[in-house]
Amino acid sequence: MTTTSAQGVVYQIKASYIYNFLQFVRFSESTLSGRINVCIVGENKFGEALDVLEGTDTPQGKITINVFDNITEPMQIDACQVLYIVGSDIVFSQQVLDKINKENILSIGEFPEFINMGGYIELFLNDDSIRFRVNQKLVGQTQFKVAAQLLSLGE
Amino acid sequence: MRKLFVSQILTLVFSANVLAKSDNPVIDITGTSLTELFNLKITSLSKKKQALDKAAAAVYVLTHDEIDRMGVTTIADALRYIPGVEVANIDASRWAISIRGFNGLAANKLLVMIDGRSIYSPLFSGVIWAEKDVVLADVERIEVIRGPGGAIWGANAVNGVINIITRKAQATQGVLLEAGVGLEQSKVVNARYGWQVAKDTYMRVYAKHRQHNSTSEQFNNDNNRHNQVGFRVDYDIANDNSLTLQGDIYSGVIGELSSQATTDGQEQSGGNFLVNWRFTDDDNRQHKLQGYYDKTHLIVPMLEDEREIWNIDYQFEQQWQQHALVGGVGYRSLQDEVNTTPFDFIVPKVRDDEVISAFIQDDLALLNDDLHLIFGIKYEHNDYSGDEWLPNVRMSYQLPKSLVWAAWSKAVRVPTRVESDIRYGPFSGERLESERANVYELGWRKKWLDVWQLDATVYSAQYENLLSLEADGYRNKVSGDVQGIELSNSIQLQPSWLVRLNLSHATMNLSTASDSLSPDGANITQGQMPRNTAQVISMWDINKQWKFNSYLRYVDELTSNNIDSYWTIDATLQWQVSQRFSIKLAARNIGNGSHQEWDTQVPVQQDVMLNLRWGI
Repeated sequence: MTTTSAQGVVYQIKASYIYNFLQFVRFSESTLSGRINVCIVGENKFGEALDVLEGTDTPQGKITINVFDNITEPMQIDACQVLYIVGSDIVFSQQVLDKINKENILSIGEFPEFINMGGYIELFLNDDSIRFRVNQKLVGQTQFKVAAQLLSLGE
Repeated sequence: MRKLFVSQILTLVFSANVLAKSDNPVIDITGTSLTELFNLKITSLSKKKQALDKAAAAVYVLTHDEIDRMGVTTIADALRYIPGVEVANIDASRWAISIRGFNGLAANKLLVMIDGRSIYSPLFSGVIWAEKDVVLADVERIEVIRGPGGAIWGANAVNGVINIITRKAQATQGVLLEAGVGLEQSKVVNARYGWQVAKDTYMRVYAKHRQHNSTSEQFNNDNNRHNQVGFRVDYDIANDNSLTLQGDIYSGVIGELSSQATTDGQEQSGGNFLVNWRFTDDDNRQHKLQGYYDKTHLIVPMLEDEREIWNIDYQFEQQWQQHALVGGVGYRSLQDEVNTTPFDFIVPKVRDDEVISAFIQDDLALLNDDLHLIFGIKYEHNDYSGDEWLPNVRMSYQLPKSLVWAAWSKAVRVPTRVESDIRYGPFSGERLESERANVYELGWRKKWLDVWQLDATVYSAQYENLLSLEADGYRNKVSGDVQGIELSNSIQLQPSWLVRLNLSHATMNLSTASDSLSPDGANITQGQMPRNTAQVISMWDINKQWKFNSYLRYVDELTSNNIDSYWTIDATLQWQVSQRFSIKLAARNIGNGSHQEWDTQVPVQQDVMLNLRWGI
């Protein structure tokens, strides 16, 4: 019998959040190529959960995953629609966020300062469950459109 | 790549394939909706809970969330919510806490640890609950095993093991500021700050201050004050390789030492430092090396104890075919100076002791992992009782819808410094030997519809060589047995409402040898175990911001102490005002007027407390 560690469970839940968010987000057609590029930056804690996400359907195309340890050149993530920054390293996350256009890319992070730093969605732990909150300052200011149902579910 | 989450206490009882390389999907990643994701509970889906469900022992874990809901301010308060743990408030600063009988101020059959560091006092046995404290908001969980933990934890884990585990520094980042005022627990202030020191290194520092009023004007030397500061650093050296450093310093008083009041005053202070290094090597063997230094200073009327403990433990875990092997060695050095006045009744005053130990346990998985057979043995050599061998055998069997487990263990309780070295005229403790226990347990665990979980345990413990008071000193002329049944139910009445119902029934029969001069001692101990106890705990999330939790408990009479049976209620109302700010109103011991729990002279007062918390 193999069982799943707490971290394994957490990242499966987060992977499911990524999948679900993409059902409620519309990127502007000009940036698309039939695929939704989801870029994971930082230590890959998702493991096989990413394999499950790879190739699944969203309204605007199939999900393609790219994993980066670090972003040294903005070009590397030019084609990303979604950017997920793993971990709670403030300095690292700020460096990555500074290299992207936060109005074009749906950025998702997992530590308390993420939204203050300009990220769009923060996933956080609340009483043994994972919840999310949305950056109110960016709502309506981005190139991509987020459905109202998603915004209302965030905390 | 996975960070393995193995807790020390659970290595005693589970063998789940900890070295599995991949995490099985436990949720349908593309088939779970957002609202479903909101309500998924991580611990119930993860290995830890699955390991608990298969544990071949009577285990219970009090989670961070439950500790938070109950609005408790000390560890002793938190232990009330754990099924099978007898908690009696002796006075405003003292507690009698035990498992399966033998309770008292110096309850000596329970091993208690904080992050693997023993807080059991080798001086007089038992735990000075007033001096051992943590910031409860930073506690990850409290793990309790009822029954002997000898094969891994060694001597003195006779009736149970409690381990209070604090959160890693990464999980306690930022500011936490908490202030509480109450009628009885007059003040509690917690302050903590956590930050990232470097890449992969996180740290926190904290300070805690507590004050409690005395019981009444008549019984008034039991008020207390306690101050504590500490830190924790967690460094992730690499994947599956991490280092933790932590330490605390504290000082506190109970009442006034020089007071002539009926209850003694007490002063205590101390500090400790712990290093813990865990890593997994290329052959997938997990290693753990832990060392700590613990210094304590205790002053009570007529006795002053200064004590230093150095402890180092090494443990490894390895999977080999169907065997999950755990083993380790340990060394402890204790130095103390015990001064008694006005005459020397503890001899020698200064003593250096050593304890060396080694243990090994094999968990054999058979029948496609449905049957587990666990064999373990610990060897210990100490300077009070010499060589001790502590074997245990456990088994668990997964039936289609439930789990059955059984265990046999031998445990010992080693004489304490005071018991062994007391010399007063002809009265001496030099002939005292270890107390022994032979324990059989049977358990059954079942879950219905993912909503109702029942945990039932039946046990029979045979004790011999229990301490007795004779003309020429302490001897071991008491023996007997304790039988009992413990039922623990967890019922999810609604997604936002969990109820726990815990019941226990036990009988204790002790007798003294015919040549003993103190048959009364055995009778007294017998009458200090309540025959029946019941707890109903309700945890209700009214909505996203409001929570209401209530706790009804019933404890049967303690005939020896002339304490009547009683029932009482605790309740808390919690308002999460914003992401970082919450307010909690907690009422304790309400519902039936004041009652006594251990001493007829000491009524346990009703308390109402308001707690404000800012931070995460």
